[in-house]
Amino acid sequence: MNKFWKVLLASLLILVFVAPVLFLFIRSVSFGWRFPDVLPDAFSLRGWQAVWSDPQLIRALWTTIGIGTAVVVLNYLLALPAAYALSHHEPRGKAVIETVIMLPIFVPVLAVAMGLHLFMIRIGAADSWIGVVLIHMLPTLPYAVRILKSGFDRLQTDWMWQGRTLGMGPVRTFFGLMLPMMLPSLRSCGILVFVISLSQYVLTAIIGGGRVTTLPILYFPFFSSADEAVTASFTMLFALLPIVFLVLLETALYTYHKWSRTV
Amino acid sequence: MLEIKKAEKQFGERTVFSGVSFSAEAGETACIVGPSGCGKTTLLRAVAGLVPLSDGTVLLDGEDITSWKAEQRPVVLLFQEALLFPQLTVLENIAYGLKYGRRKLGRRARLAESRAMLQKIEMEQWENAYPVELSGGQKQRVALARALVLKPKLLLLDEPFSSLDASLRQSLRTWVRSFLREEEVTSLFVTHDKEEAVMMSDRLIVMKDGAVQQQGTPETVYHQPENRAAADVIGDGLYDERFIPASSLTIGAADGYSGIIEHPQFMHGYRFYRVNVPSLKQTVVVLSDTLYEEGEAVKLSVTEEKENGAL
Ligand SMILES: Nc1ncnc2c1ncn2[C@@H]1O[C@H](COP(=O)(O)OP(=O)(O)OP(=O)(O)O)[C@@H](O)[C@H]1O
Ligand SMILES: [Mg+2]
Repeated sequence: MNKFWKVLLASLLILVFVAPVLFLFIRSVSFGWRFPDVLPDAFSLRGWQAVWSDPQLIRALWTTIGIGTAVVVLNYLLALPAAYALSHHEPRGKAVIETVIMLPIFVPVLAVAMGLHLFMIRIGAADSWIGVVLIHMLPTLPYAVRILKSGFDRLQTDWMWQGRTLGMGPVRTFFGLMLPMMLPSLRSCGILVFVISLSQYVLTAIIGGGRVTTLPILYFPFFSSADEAVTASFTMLFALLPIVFLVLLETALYTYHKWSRTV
Repeated sequence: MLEIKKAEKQFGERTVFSGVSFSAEAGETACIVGPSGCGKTTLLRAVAGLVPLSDGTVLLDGEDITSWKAEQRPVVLLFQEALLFPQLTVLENIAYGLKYGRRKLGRRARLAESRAMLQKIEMEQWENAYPVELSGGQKQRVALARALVLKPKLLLLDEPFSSLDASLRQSLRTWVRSFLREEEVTSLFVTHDKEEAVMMSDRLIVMKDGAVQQQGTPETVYHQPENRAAADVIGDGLYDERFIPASSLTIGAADGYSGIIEHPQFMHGYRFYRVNVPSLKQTVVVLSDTLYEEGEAVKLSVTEEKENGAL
C-alpha cells in the first residue's frame, strides 16, 4: 500500500470513528455551541453533573453492567460445552443442532420474544432481571457458539492427546490446556456478547416490563430531552461501558493465563 | 521392558493390524518401520492408551497396562509435530507436565528440574523464548525435554523428524539417538524411513500388510530380510525366493535378471543406477562405474561372494 492510500485510509478512519466521539465529548462539556461557531462559547460540566446526579441512571448503570456480565458468563457456560461438542465430536443430528443454535439470528427475535414473554410470565421470570438475562441469550448465544467453535476447530485432537499423554485427565486437559489456548476466542466472544447485550432495547423493554431499567431503556427519555449537553454526556457514558468491561475481562483472562503458567 | 502380545486393531470392519507381538528391553530403542498407512501411528496411540486395542495386551515391566487410561500410563508419546504450548515459554513448556501432569512437583522443584533438562538439550539461552521463535529442530528438542522430565518408563516417538528438512533431520537423529542412550530411556520409535530405522534402533521391527514381517537387530534385518514383504520395506536388493543383496548384484554381465535402467543416482561419492526388474516387479539400486543410458536394457548377475554386504 502506498503512502497516499495510507493517508486516505487513516483520514477515513478518523472521520468515521474518532471525529464523532470527539465531537460528542466536546458537546458534552460545552455550553451553547451553535452551528456556525467553530468552537463553543464556554465549557461547563453541567451535562455530566446532570447525568451523575440522577440516581435512576446510576442504578441503571449497575443493572446494565450486571446483566451484561451475567449474560457473558452464562454464554461461556452454555457455549463452551456446545462449541466443544460440535467441534470435536460428531453428535447425532449435528446439522440440526447447529441450525437450531443459529436460528435466533435468522428469525425475527421480536416474534420469539412475544412468545417467550408469555412463558416467562408463567414461570415468574417476567419483569425480573433474570428474565432479561435469559432473553439476552437469544441474540448472543448463536455468535458465542460460532466464535468458540472456530476456536476449538483450530485445536486438533492431537492437542488433547498431548495433554493426556503428559498425564492429565480429561477435566484437567480441558481447563489446563484447552482453555488457556482458547483465550483469544474467549476474549472476542466476551466483548461481542457484552456489546450485543448492551444494545438491547426492545427485548429488555418487553421482558423487563419497564421494571428492569437498563441504560438503553433510559436512553430514549434522555434523548428527547432538549439539553444536548446532557444527551451527549449520556451517550459518552454509553460508549465508555464496553471499554470498562474490556478492562474487567482482560483482568480476568490475564489472571487465568497467569494461573495456567507453569514456573 | 515393553512387551506387546498379539495386538490387534480394527476400525469397524477393517483390520488395520493383527497378531502384532514384539518386545523392547529396558533402555533399548525399538523401531517399527513400515510403509505409510500400515498402522504405525495407530499402534503407538494404542500403546499410549489414547485409542483402545481391539485385542491383545500391553505389558510394561511385567505389568499389564492394557486397560489403563492414557494419563495413568508411565508413557509419553511424542507427536509428528512438536505441539508446544504457544502461550508459554520454552522453560514453562518443559515444566508443563510437572505442574499439571503425571509427576507433580512444587514450584521450586519444577523450576530446578526444568532448568536441568533445558541444559541437557543444550538450549539454556532459549529459556524465555516462545515456541514461535524456535526452529523445527529446536521445537522437537523442547518437546522431547517436556516428555523426559516426567521420567516415563517408555517413550513413544511417532516420526518426530518427518516435518524437518533433510540436513536438520540427519543431525537431529544423531543427537536424539545419543541422548536416548545417555538417558537410558526405553523407547519405541516409528518411521517409514528405512535409513532412519536402521540408524536409530537397537531392535528393528518390520511391519507390513497388518502384520509384523520380521524383527531382530537392525544389522540382521537389513542384510537378511526373511520374506518379500520385509525385503520391500527394509532391504536393498532383490527378492526371488530368497533375498539377494544389492551388493552382490552386478550390472552388465551376459546373463542374469533382465532389467531396465531407470536413472542414475549419486551417493557417498559413488555412481548408482536404479534398475527396474519387470520379471520380479521390483526395482533395485546397484553400484556401477560404467555409463548407461536411461531406458537401456541390461542384465543383473548375482555374485555370491559379495553377499551380506562384504564387498
Ligand atoms: N480413527 C480412525 N478411523 C478409521 N480409520 C482409521 C482411523 N485412524 C486410522 N485409520 C486407518 O488406519 C490405517 C493406519 O493408519 P495409521 O495412521 O496408523 O498409519 P501409519 O502407519 O501411521 O501411516 P503414516 O506412515 O502415513 O503415518 C489407515 O488406513 C487409516 O485410514
Ligand atoms: Mg503415522
